Amino acid sequence: MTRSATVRFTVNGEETSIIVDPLASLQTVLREELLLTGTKAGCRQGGCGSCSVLVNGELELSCLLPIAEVEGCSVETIEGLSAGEKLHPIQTAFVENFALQCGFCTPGMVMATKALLGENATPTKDEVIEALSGNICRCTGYEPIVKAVMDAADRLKGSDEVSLVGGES
Amino acid sequence: MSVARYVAPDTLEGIVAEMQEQEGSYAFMAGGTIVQPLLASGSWLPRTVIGLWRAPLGAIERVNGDVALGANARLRDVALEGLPGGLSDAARQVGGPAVRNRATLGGNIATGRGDLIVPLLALGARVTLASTKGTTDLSIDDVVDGATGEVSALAQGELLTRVMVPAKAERGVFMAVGRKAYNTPCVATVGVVANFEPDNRNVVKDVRVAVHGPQPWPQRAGPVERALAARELNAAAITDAVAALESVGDGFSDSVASADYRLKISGVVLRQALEKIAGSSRQ
Repeated sequence: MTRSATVRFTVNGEETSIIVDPLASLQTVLREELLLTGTKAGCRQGGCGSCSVLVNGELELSCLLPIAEVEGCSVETIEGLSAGEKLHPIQTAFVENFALQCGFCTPGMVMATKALLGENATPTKDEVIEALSGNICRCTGYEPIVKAVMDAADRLKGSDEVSLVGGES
Repeated sequence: MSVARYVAPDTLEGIVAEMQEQEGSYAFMAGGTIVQPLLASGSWLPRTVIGLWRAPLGAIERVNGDVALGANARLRDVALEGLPGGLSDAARQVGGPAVRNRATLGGNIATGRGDLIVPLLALGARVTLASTKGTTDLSIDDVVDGATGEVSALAQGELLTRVMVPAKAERGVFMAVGRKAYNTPCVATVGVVANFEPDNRNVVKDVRVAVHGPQPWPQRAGPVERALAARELNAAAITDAVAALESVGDGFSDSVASADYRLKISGVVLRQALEKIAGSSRQ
């Protein structure tokens, strides 16, 4: 493999093929090539969680992931959660619990929540705190975020929306 | 300036062939938690990057009373494996969930500072290194230099491919203290693995103690081990062991903790670890 490669993957259910530096991060490709800027660029070293996305259903820090490793994978970003104007229940829970102020960390928080609830539909408060421990928020003090995640878990009880791309069920 | 070449062989043989071809001018990248930020910022630009993600080096297998962990085993998977000596506990407290989904056992060792080195030293792990000359099996004691913190063998053009640990340890514990509950750099960590005399379950038969706190790198704590050797693991022995920690190092200061605080906390964590071992030995 050289410094230019064709990488094929799906983003929010859509097949994508891109010729790119194989060491470019998924974060860079999402934001600068695919213009999916909901995935934020914070620390760019895996420390803040603002670039969190799901890759094959697992939580990943897109700044740490060379695009070459995304070949054949399914990527979900914050843009894939809502169905048009209809917010995903996790997003609704964040809004209604005032779980954001500046909003910069929110896409990562929401994706980390989706990963958590995909594995554990009824987390305890401590499990929520642990699951979000890689996502830094400088505004809220975390309490409303934790409440939002617990609320989202309640809203999603009996639903299969956590495992779906998009807000439809 | 940028990396000139990126390859990701899908076999160990392919990786070794690349190592030979590049004659030392290359860098490995496994989970990318360390290397990718350096590449992205331009602060480190090796001529060739050899990606390890395609090679079959991530399996965790039980083999004749041991557990063989591929160097590419993710910390997420190590954490779920229920490994002895607190090895899985140590993996569980590294970073946040997304970091554990990427970070690998081999990368944690290769830094020479990784939290998993402490339980691996306590367990007496054995590691396999591959190079253009073949493979070598070594004790973790011979890979991580306790006097300097250097991962000496890995600096000589060798690739860590496998780590072997016992599937069971009679008594083992890993304890860590950080500034907060999760995703926090550690102030001090301690790993203890001990066996007790069959006819007196309170007397230490052999013990391995590793610490990260007295020095800026993980290390075996020989003076502590000697303070515990062939003794009943009671309050007096534990006090002597904690006192012996002072001859292991003076602590070190960084943005997380001062040297004095770190050394004091190392003693507190060691005491708690030994009391836990003592309590479980009396069960």
